[in-house]
Amino acid sequence: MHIRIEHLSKIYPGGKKALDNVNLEIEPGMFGLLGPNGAGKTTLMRIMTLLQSGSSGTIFYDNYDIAKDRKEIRSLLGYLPQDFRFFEKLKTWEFLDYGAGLAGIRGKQRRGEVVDEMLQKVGLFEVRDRWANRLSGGMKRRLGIAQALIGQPKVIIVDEPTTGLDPEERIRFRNILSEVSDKDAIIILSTHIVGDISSTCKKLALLNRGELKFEGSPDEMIALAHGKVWEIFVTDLEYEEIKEKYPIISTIPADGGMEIQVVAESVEGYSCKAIAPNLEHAYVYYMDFLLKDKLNMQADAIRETALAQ
Amino acid sequence: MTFHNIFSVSRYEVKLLRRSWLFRIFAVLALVVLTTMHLGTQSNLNNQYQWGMVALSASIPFVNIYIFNIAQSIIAIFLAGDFMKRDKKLDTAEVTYVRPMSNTDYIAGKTWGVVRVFVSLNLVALAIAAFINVFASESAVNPWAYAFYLVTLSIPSLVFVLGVSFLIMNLVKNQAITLILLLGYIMVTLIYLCDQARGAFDFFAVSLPNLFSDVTGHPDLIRYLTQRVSFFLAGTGMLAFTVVLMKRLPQHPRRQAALATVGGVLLGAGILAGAAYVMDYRQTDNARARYTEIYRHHAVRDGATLTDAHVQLQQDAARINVQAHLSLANQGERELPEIVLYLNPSLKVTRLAGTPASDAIPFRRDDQAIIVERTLRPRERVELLVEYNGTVDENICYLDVPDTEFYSTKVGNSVLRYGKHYAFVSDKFTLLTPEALWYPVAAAPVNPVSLYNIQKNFTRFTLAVVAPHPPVVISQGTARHAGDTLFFENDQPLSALSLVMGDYERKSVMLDTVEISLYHFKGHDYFSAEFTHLSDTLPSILRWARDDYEVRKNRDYPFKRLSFVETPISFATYARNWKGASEYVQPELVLLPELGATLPNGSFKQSKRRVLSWERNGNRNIEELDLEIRVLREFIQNALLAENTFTGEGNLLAPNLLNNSSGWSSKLNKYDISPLFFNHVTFVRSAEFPILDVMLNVMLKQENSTGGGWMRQFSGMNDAQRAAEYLKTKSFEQAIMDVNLLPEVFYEMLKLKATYLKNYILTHHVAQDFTAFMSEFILQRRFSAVNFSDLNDQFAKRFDINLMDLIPEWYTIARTPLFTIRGVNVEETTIDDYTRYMISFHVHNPTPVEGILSVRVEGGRGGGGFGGFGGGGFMMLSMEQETRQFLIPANSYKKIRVLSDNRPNNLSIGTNIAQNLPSEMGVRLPRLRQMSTDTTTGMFSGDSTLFMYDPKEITVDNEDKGFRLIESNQKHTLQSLLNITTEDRYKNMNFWMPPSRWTATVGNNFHGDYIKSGYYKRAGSGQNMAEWQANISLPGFYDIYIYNPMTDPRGRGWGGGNEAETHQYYKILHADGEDEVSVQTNEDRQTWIPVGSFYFAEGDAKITLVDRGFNPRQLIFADAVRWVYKTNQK
Repeated sequence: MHIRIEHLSKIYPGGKKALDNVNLEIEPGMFGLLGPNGAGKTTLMRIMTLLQSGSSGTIFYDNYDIAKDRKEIRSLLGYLPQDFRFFEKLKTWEFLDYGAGLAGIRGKQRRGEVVDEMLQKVGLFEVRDRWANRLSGGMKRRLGIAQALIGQPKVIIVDEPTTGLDPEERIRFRNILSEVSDKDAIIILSTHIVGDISSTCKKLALLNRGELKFEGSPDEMIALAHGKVWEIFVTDLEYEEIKEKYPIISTIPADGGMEIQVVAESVEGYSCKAIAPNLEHAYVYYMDFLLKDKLNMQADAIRETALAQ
Repeated sequence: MTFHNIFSVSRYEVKLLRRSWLFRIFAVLALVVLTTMHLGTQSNLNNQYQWGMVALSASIPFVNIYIFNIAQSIIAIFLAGDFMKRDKKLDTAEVTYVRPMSNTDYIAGKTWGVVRVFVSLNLVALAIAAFINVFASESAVNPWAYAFYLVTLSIPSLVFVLGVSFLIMNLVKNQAITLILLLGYIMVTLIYLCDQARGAFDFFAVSLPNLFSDVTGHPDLIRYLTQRVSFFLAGTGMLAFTVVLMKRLPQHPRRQAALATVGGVLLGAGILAGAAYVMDYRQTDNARARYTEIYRHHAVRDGATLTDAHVQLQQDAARINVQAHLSLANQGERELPEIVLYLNPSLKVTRLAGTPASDAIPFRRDDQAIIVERTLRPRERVELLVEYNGTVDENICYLDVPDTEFYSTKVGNSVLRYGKHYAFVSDKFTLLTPEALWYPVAAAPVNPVSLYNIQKNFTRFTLAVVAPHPPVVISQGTARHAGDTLFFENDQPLSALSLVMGDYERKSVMLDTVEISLYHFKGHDYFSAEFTHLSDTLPSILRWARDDYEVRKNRDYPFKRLSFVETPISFATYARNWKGASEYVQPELVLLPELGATLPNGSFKQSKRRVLSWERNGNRNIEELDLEIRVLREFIQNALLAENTFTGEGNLLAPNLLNNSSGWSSKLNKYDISPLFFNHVTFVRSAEFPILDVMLNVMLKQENSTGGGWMRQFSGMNDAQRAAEYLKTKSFEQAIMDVNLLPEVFYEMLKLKATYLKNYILTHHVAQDFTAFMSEFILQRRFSAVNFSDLNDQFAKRFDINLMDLIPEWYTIARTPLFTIRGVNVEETTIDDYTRYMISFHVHNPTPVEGILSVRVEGGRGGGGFGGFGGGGFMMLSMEQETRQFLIPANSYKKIRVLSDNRPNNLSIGTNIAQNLPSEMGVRLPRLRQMSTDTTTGMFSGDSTLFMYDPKEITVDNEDKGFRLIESNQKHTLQSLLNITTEDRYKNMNFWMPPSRWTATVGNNFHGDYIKSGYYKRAGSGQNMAEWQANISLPGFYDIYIYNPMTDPRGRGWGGGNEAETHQYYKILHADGEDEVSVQTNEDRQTWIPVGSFYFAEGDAKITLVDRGFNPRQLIFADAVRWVYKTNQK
């Protein structure tokens, strides 16, 4: 399976450009889609899942074009939307059974087997007869991924799956995804939680304001941030000052001040040391410095300061 | 489309729907309502059901689906909105939407799921119906009907309503607005649209004929199915559009256009089917218009008279082959250039000749008219042989009936629509009456130019039916078999020939020389079991009934046979005053509805239970034989002898929807057998006043003792009063042409005019002479047409009155007199050693029109009949005396003195056609105080001073100028906005749901000069008032009296006879201020109650009634008050 996004744009009726000439290729394995809120991730996923259409450009799933071969593409898909709730009055197993039926699994017995297998896999077998909307938050998310996985889809698209989950559930969730990803499937994980991607994805893309800003492996992205992440010890007064200048990633209070980590091309006037970046650092660095608008903003701020002086 | 996907979606739609509380609550409610309706109107657990609601085997399943259909539509609308909303809001839908199913699969699956759930709920509802049907009703079980209504009534409605709901929800995108729109649509359909365009917009099919006859099946299957298919297709079309409009990318974008096309085609096909349905009716309209035009065209022609007809008929499935040998005569004075015959337009004349051997006579066919190109000189006779065959077109029938009535499918307040057929020809059942023109006639049966101006031929008929099938043949005359042919020969000429063939069983009994038969369809003997004790007694009961009726009508039954024949429920007719008889009553035959479903007292079992419980409540025992006798008598009286029948109005299942009428109205009884004694026996021809024939029959039909005392207790307007009101400003001549006048009102007018004419004659001659003359005249001319001039000549010879001196003015006068009565008195006197009673009163007629007073003294044991509703005819044990007629000249004062043999207690004064309301006054006589020696009776000059204005005794009535109502609540109710028809000024008293606003009513218990009326309402907060104002010219002390018309009769039943106490509160404005007085109104009814003396200065005096009551449930009456001068001493 291979997904090719070609010149995809989406302009909403009000004129808002949600996607702007996005070109992207996605290979089997887990693929992370990063970006701040409003970057166009959800729009891209909705277009990919055929829940809405693009304004121009297209997407190919192998040779299937989203404009023409929707039936074929839909039979490849599994989808877990961001804000996922359940029909009232469906039991856990029924919810999966419904999905299995629609995914084309025929025969009550066969569906039963598939459903039970999936319930086992996501650890919900014990609660198979519970009303789906009575499950805990984590269980609901597992049920959500279970329904996305049922019928062995070739492309699984998961939108903000771990938001609100406790660490244990989050790890469990990631593991389930990873297990599936062995099977020549594409799993697209859209998130703004960088940790989800760093621990699972081989490749990622970064979207901002509808544009694709980065495409590559997490390591490549991290590499971009080498020498740009600094640890500084500051006093309370300095902290206020530095907050204005640099994006602070972490703050640890210490005697006589605090230990902070900032992302910056360079830090002047403070005693600091460069540290090894992680994906989160890279993401902040990328968002704040490499993307033009931030730089422009910074330039503007400098100009304004100069004028004021 | 993939069935796997559809079934997957539907499987879960079913689960979700069944688990939805909204659905569960609605479903339970629907089943509860349904069960309650069944139990209340169709089960025999209580005795409240109407026989018509259960008589036919399809009734229970029909009512079940009828109610369910409406309920499910409402539920479906709620659920459809709910589902769409759910789909829109929850991302859950998106996990479904990414699945590889098409939009069509999805909507089809959802729809199929909903349909499955509703059908299963429907099956539960039907199971309840079936249970009641089998274990708790008098209705036969018809499994086929259960399936039929489910498939044809319920499912198309459901599909349509789902289509509309989904589509509107998709277009409007707002659940609340969609709900309001759709519920509004349902209401509008049920209240208004269902009756438009012959039911083309009625997706519930509540107005479509749809009840199966056990004999002839569905009344109008093709039209019904066309209409149902139209909604089914339109529904599926809209579902297709819903798919197109669905907010999900289609599987195959290019197929959207194709799908829209399919939707368009389906919707178009639905509309086309609807159009075909309407066009089919349009064809009927066109045919009727064409046939009417042909009658109109020929109405001006003189016609021949059909004197003899030998009709030989052979039936072949739906076709008849007939050979008719006719004898025609020209009984007029002018030569007829052509002979016009009338025959059903779809019967094709294959040969027309003089005799079988002679050459054909040329003729033209103009739909129903056959114009025979042969002259006929005065007094000349001609023989014609007409051979014809074909089917029978029912559109020729009842051309005079207005469309609204002709197409109305409603029967009383029933929800069952039986449909209307006027003729049947089939292997199972054949019924042909003259209305269907199944044999050639010379007199046009209807005259659209002037309805009453028709000819009636008395013809000597013979009928031969060759190889009859179905087996039992019923017609007029003596039946005789010869080979495979059945002959009917008649002893006398008849006005009509009818033919019934069916699979009948016959029961008969000889009454002297008359053979009375009852033909019922096989398996339809629902009555014998109720009369097991009656067998030996039956002839004597029937004889008693006949003798009594013959005495009352002063006529003998003129035929040798009287057959009551059951006909399919859809066999319909109309009450037509100009015809004098409905098509249900043919010479020798009375055509009864299937299983007596629409007959009053049609269920004997129920009648028995009613009588038993009545007797039980009175702690009386009744023997089974007496019970059967009583039930049979009531049936005969109410179903066959009464001229009116009470019919429910509105909708039985929703009685209070949009009207608060009493729910019952009086209609002409179409089974009234009096035409057998009158209209089928004589015909009085008058070119100038054709109405005279019908009028004379009505006059002669009227019984001497009209109206028992109980009739006068009714309040409000009855049809007779409406007729009198009409004549106040319009003439009888105008009424005859007035198509808007209800037949019931016109019939009462006929009675009034007939009675007026008769009473006019009786002001000069005694009643017995008149009656004897008329009986003799008619008896000598039975079964023939008589010229009115002959009757008039004889009449003038006998009575010295030329009726033509009276009739023109009687016909054209457009004013009515009014009478006020004063000074009623009773005195004892002695004549020939016997004590007699002299009753006298003064009457004033202030109008320039003379009028007639019919005066009757009622005495002895209370007067009036106490047969009540049921036994009126048989048990009229009255001490009434002869009614005396007085002609009161215009602008006159008269005194009338009548003598009574018995001690009188009531004086009944009928005002005939006058402005008086009620038209029959019951005057309570004062106590006997004096003796008198004056024994002269009759009419004398009256004392005009009695009628003068007396400043010492001022009465202000609610009809007077000094009276006004003060109402706090002026808002219009929905009902007042929707009531387009002009209502009567005076309403019937409604004790059980009294109005909250002042409502006018009339009745003898009220005070009034010539309109005895008053206002009433339920007790209120004191905001509504009534005010009487008088001009005092003589200052001084006045006694104030309040007229107390009646009290709330509900009080009497409560608390074991202890009447609820009621008071009314009046404010009296007098010279010294204002006082409030309380008047107890539950005693001293219909009398003046003194409330005290007050000083009044010159000028206006005022008395105000406030609507506050003593108890909150009492009624408040505003009628009249009186100031009686006492003294000028302060």
